[in-house]
Amino acid sequence: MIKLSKSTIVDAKQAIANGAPVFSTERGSLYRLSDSTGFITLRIPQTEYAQFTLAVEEDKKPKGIEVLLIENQDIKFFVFGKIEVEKGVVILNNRPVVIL
Amino acid sequence: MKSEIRPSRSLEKSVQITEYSEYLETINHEIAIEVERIIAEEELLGEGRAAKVFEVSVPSSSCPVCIKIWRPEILLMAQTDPLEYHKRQFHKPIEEFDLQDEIYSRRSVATPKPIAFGHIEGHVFMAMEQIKGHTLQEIIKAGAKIPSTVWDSIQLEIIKLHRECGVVHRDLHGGNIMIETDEPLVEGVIISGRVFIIDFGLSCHVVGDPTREDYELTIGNNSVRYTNDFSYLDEIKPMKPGSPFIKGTR
Repeated sequence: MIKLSKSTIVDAKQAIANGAPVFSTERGSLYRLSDSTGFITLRIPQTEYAQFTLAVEEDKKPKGIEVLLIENQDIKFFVFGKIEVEKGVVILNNRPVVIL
Repeated sequence: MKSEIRPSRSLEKSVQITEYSEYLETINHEIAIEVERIIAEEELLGEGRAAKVFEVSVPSSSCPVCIKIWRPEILLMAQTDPLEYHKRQFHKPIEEFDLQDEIYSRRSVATPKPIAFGHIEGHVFMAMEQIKGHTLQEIIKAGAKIPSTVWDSIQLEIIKLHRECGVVHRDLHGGNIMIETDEPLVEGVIISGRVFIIDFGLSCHVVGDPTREDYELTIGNNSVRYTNDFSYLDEIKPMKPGSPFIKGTR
């Protein structure tokens, strides 16, 4: 069980309301919360996202501790790490990853 | 490798799907490995009677998030020796997480922002904002000093914790007071910055109205004097050689 703090959920909902994800695909959106955290919302069922994630090449997968599955209606995954986007590629902790 | 991560109810409904089961197993396994790695290899930021705090970092970069992992023997003690457990950890870990969340959400007392709570591979952990700086204990040990304005801030944070949050810390010593700064610890250097109160494992809500100046309050069935919270600080406050406090400096 991973539970987010209320203060983090408030900040995340604010970020969603502001509507400024740093990265979006047809599968979902990635938001940055701080220099070291972010979160993912999905447009597709989580089962489909699971299939997508399993198919990602091993060296492009985020590490387990970097992307945590959580229990929340809006936010599906919490991201630990520095999130950057360069030329349409998500850089997580200075490493290119396929996250959405 | 067994994991205790629990999927959401909506996900459980679809757990019969092979891909999804495989997916859950994969991420649980990866998280468990990472937590084990953090425990085995990563820099230990702090250590208390009930838990250890680790920096979460990856080889190519570090990020200011830390993970507090409760000692498994302490959690076991909750069942085998509840009296001893309550001396070291008053709340259940999830209750400590919620209390820190409540204090942080009030935005009056500076405390690290709690982010997430979870169980992984038998470990109970809390992820929170990492404060870059030094504890008062480290400052004293290094022979560094803090200006009187920081001393005033420490007292103010404690009073706000009592009066605005209705919480008494009960374990307030130099190791649980942090000064946020980039300044390295060197003997004689003046350390100034925002004051943070950390570690609410023994903290309690105050029952009653904290109006008396001597801070004597009733907590549950016990009468507690707030001055207990200041006792450690009072001991080191005198302006003597080696004291961390210097007067009138910003």
